[in-house]
Amino acid sequence: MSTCLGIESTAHTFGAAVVSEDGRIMSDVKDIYVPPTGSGIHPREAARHHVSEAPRVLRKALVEAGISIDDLSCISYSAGPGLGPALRVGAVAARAISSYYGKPLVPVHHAIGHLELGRLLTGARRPVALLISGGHTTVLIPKRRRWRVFGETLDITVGQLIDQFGRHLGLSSPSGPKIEGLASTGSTLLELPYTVRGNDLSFSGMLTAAKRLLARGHRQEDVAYSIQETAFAMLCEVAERALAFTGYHELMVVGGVAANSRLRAMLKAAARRQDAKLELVPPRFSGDCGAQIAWPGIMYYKGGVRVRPVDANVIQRWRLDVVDVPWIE
Amino acid sequence: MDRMISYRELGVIARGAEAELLLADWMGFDVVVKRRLPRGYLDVRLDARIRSRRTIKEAQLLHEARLAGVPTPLVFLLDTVNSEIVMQYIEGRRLKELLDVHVDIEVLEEAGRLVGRLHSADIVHGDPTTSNFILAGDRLVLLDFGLSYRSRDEGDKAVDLHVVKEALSSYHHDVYEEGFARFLEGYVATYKGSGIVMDELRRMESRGRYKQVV
Repeated sequence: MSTCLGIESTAHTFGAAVVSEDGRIMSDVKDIYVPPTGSGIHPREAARHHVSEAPRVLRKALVEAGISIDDLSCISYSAGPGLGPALRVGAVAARAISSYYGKPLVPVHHAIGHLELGRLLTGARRPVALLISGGHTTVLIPKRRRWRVFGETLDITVGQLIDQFGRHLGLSSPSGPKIEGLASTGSTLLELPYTVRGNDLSFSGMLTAAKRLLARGHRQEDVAYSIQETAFAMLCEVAERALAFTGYHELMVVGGVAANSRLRAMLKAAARRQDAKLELVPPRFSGDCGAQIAWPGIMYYKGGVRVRPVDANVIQRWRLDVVDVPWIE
Repeated sequence: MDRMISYRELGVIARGAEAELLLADWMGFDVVVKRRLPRGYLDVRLDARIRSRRTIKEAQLLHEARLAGVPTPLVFLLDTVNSEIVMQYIEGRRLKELLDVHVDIEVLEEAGRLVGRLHSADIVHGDPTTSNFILAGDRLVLLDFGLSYRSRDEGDKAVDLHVVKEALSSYHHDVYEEGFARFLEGYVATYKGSGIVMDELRRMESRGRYKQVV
């Protein structure tokens, strides 16, 4: 049975996991960099955190999996997209282990990792996928060796909308749960721009309008409620459009914003309306983690993908629809 | 709720993401009724607002597009209370199906011409996917103006091109490269401002908004 050690270090999280070729997650260990309250992530500080935590996380991943490096089939690492300094820590660790122990090295696209781990854990075979996080707001369909972008945000992501609104209120990032709490006590629907263009979305006008509503004296609770209702309605519409267009019967949602319970309820109803089933990744694996790198890693390894350590670079900007995923039929 | 319009339903033609299309008989004519269905999971106020605004705007822009030389179904009646439009029935095949079966790239050039005329009149379609063009005989008809709006902005028009490109590359990628090139030929031929819009499309795709962030 082949096994792969996957290393994730795209942003806040340094993660390592061992996954077997039959899709068993033998271990998944992570440590998350927490920036000081009121500020966002600093790439250099994140990298410093990863450097100091890497040895412990890697060792723990191997111990929990009950495997020694010698018995691994390959090493995979998150090659991008992401923050350069953070990505390089994972790449350096992967190159070092690969060359010292003579193990094949496999680069993995971070977002492909979210999507493929999502398919593994939910059992969704041919879903419309909604990738919603601080970094992505994208609707995708798996078709002929690629995850194809069906629609995406034209400006900021839904995660950024929520975080930047939260920061405007003086909340610490990530502010999703706090905004959700505020919204649950709001009741007045205020008018915000609802912008859907085909399958694409825009949220920047909503952010500006929401700040203006606050300045005019509307209650934070009502503005938060209106942002959630309007933004989530847009996401659901785009998901419904993609389901209707493709005729697929699964809606898979991955990414941190899926933790919002109001959004989950809406997506479930939206999926049902299009005769589809909502598939959610367990919270434990919806954020960044080593398993999302280890699982595609072993699939690529079995398909013969290798990179020489000397060529194992990172790519800070890397569109996911240019990446081959040979096991997608 | 009382209906302002009386017609006899003959059956459902299609059910999309936001609306259903019914074939109906109205005063002896075959007509299509586009009925925007409530989305029960939304705040009811938001749902009502979206449906009634889109219905009104769609009826207006179907008409304006036609004046700009873009074949669209004739609008007969409008019911804003129930979010319904009664319009001409167009018999034909959707471009999406045509591209699935046999590849007649020619028709994409005509699609480009229609979008070019629309943009000349400062109308942005908002959803020019291959599902929304119907080939009726030898005439290509543009449908579904539910997301349309008036705009002079090249960026808005570029998004229309991006939607076409996305639909072709994600769903019809066998014909994507040649097909999109032909689409642009038609577009350039009918719209003077096409150069600026295409520059905007390139800029849009290369700059921040289409990059993959973390």
